[in-house]
Parts: sequence; C-alpha cells; structure tokens
Amino acid sequence: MFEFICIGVVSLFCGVGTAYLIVSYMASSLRSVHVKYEAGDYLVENSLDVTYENEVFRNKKVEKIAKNNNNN
Amino acid sequence: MAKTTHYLCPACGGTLEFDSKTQKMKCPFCDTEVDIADLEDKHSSTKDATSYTEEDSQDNLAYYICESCGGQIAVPKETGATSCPFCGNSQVLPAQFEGDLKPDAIIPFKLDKKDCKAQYLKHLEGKHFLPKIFRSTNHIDELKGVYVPFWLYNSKLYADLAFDCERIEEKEDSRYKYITHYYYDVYRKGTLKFKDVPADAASAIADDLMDSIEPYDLAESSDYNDAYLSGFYASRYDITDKEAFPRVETRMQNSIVDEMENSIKGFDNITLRGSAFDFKKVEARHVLFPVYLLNTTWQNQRFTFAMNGQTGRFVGNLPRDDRAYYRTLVLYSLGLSFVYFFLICVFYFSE
Repeated sequence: MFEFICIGVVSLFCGVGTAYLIVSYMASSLRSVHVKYEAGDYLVENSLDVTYENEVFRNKKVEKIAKNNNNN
Repeated sequence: MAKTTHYLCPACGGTLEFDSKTQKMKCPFCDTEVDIADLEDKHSSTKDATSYTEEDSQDNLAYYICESCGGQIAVPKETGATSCPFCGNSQVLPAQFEGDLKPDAIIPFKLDKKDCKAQYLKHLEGKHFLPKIFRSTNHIDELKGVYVPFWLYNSKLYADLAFDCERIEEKEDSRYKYITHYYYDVYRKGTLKFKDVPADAASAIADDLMDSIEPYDLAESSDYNDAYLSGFYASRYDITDKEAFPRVETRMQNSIVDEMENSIKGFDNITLRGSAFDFKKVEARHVLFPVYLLNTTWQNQRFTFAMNGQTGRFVGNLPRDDRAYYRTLVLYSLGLSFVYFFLICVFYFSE
C-alpha cells in the first residue's frame, strides 16, 4: 500500500512537471516580441580570424562507480 | 521657418503618394503614376509651413496648420512626414532630413496596408490559449506605415577570451565504471567583422519590437528622396549613433563569443570564464526602414503589433486566456500522471 502511495506521489510530480513544460511550450506562441542578444545575421562571411589559440591541461578527476550497487 | 512639401499630380493636381505595389508615386484620385526618378521641381510644391510653437510648451510638440483644410496638426518635434488628421492630406517636412540629418539610404515600403491586415489575421491563427473573443470582437484602432530611423553599424571586433573546458571519458571493467573528467584552460584571440548591425534611433518605438522584425534586405535600399515619405509617417532620429551603440555592442560581443566557442572542438562542456573586447573600427550610417504599426485595445489593455514593411514579418504579443491555460494544465497533469503511474508500476513490479 505504501509503495502505491509513493509511486502515486512520484507520478503526480512527474505528470505535473511534464504537463507544465508541454503547456508552456503551447503558450509560448503568444509571445513573439524578443530582444535580440546576438548579431549572427550580420556577420561578414569568412571574416573570423583566430590569431591565437591555446589549450592548457589543468587537472583531472576520476569517479569510480561500483557496478552492482551504484555506491562510490 | 519650417517648410512642407506636397507632390502634385500632373493630371489633376492632387497630392501624389508613394505606392508600395508599383514603387512609383501615384495619385489617389486619378491613379496617374509618376516614377520617382522622373519627379521634377514642377511636381513638387514647397511652401513655408504655417506653424507656430506654443511658448513654455512642456510637451515637445510642434504645431502646424494644414494647407488643405486649415486644421491644426500637433506632432512631435522630430516628425518628418505626417498626414492631417482631419482631411488626410500628406505633409512632408523636408527640413527634418536635410544636411547632417539626411539619411544615407531608405528602404521603400514593398507592402501595403491590406497586406498588413492579412498578416495580422494570419498572426492570430493557430494560437493556443488566445481568447476566442479577442479574435471575434477585437478591432484595429490604428494602422499606419512609418519610416523608422535606424543606425547601421559596420565594425571589426577584437576579442580575447578564456574558457573553462571539460572532456569526459568513460571506461569500465568487470567490477567498476570509471568516469574521468579532464579540465582545460582554453584561450582564443581573434577578430570578426560585422556589417549593417541595426539599432533603432527613435526613442518612442520599443527596441524589442524593432529587433523582432529583423532582418531587412539592404540590397533593396535606395538613395534617400523626400518623395518616398509622401503617404506615410516618418520622424528623424532622436537617439544619436553613440547613444544607440551600447545595444549593438552587446550583440556583437555575444556573437564573437559564440563563433570562438564553435571553433573549440573535442570538449563536452565549455564555459566562458573571462573576456576582453576592443572595437577596431566602427562606422555608422543613418537609414530609414519601413514599418507598419498596428494598435488594438482589448479589456483596457493596449496591444501593439509591428510588421516589416519590406519582408512582411509580423510580430506582437497576444493575451492569454488564463482559464483555458489552467484547465489544459490540470487535464494534461492528470492524464500524464496516470500514464507515469501505470509505467512505473509495470517497471517496478516486473523486477
């Protein structure tokens, strides 16, 4: 019984969250006025000139996850 | 003293107006057409405007007397073309576009008011949660064609950028899964050129509305001629090129960051950490772009729509029917919750 209640609560959260995303997408068509933050339509073609590029390795981090029970 | 100009029909003496369909000057009374290139001094009548300004006026308005009907016309001081609200006679005020104020180019209107109304109705179609009553009872309060002043910027932008980048590798053996995160400092320096980045130069018009109807095709622009304004509204700029530049500056900086980021390959996550920009060369020119502005009022709220007078791109925010929105949200929530419940039960109890 407790399991069904837990599953019910999780389903409700997932259902409401998904429904909100879908309905927000549907309502987004009502808004068509937006400030533009980039000028991609106005680039001079092939004018990007990269004069310096460098990639410096900093550090690494390793996560080790046991396969049977997902505890580190 | 300010002057007004009318372009006179050689056949009947009526006022010629620019026709977007034929791209010529056309008489609304007898349909005579005259090419703009063929307009001569004899076709234009320039008179001293009968104008007056009210002393101590706080409202930044200029007042003229219509030569045709004697009506009083009150317009913002930057107005370069208007029409009499009483008799509809077109008035062009060429002094607003003379000398340093003269635009470098103009894109004439390619579409007319009928096209704008058709685009407006199309804009309302297929919109979820638009109140049905808005479609049926809403009426257009005002529809006018306006030449909006813009600054167009050409520039070469230099950027010095630093990114935090991460590459992720996964390996596994019989007992463990190993996820290795490699962190890099990535640097990029370079330049990018921009051509004709627009910023509207009229403070009375919303910037986001003008951004939304971009882009315009400058290949169809013409040298400025007062005659294009006849039959439309126009105003000279009241935002200088230096005042308008910060908005364009941000757009260009964001674009060069995007282009530099696209040049970084082989990483799973890329985050901009630091940036420095320098504009090597900035040139600005003043142009007039055609815009149709449409205003409606619904439930005491004013809605403004705009259409690109060259391409027909139509934009404008619409009201939302909250009841329909929340009803749909509840129905979808219940339906999806049942689906998730069923799927989780099947997955959980089958193990």
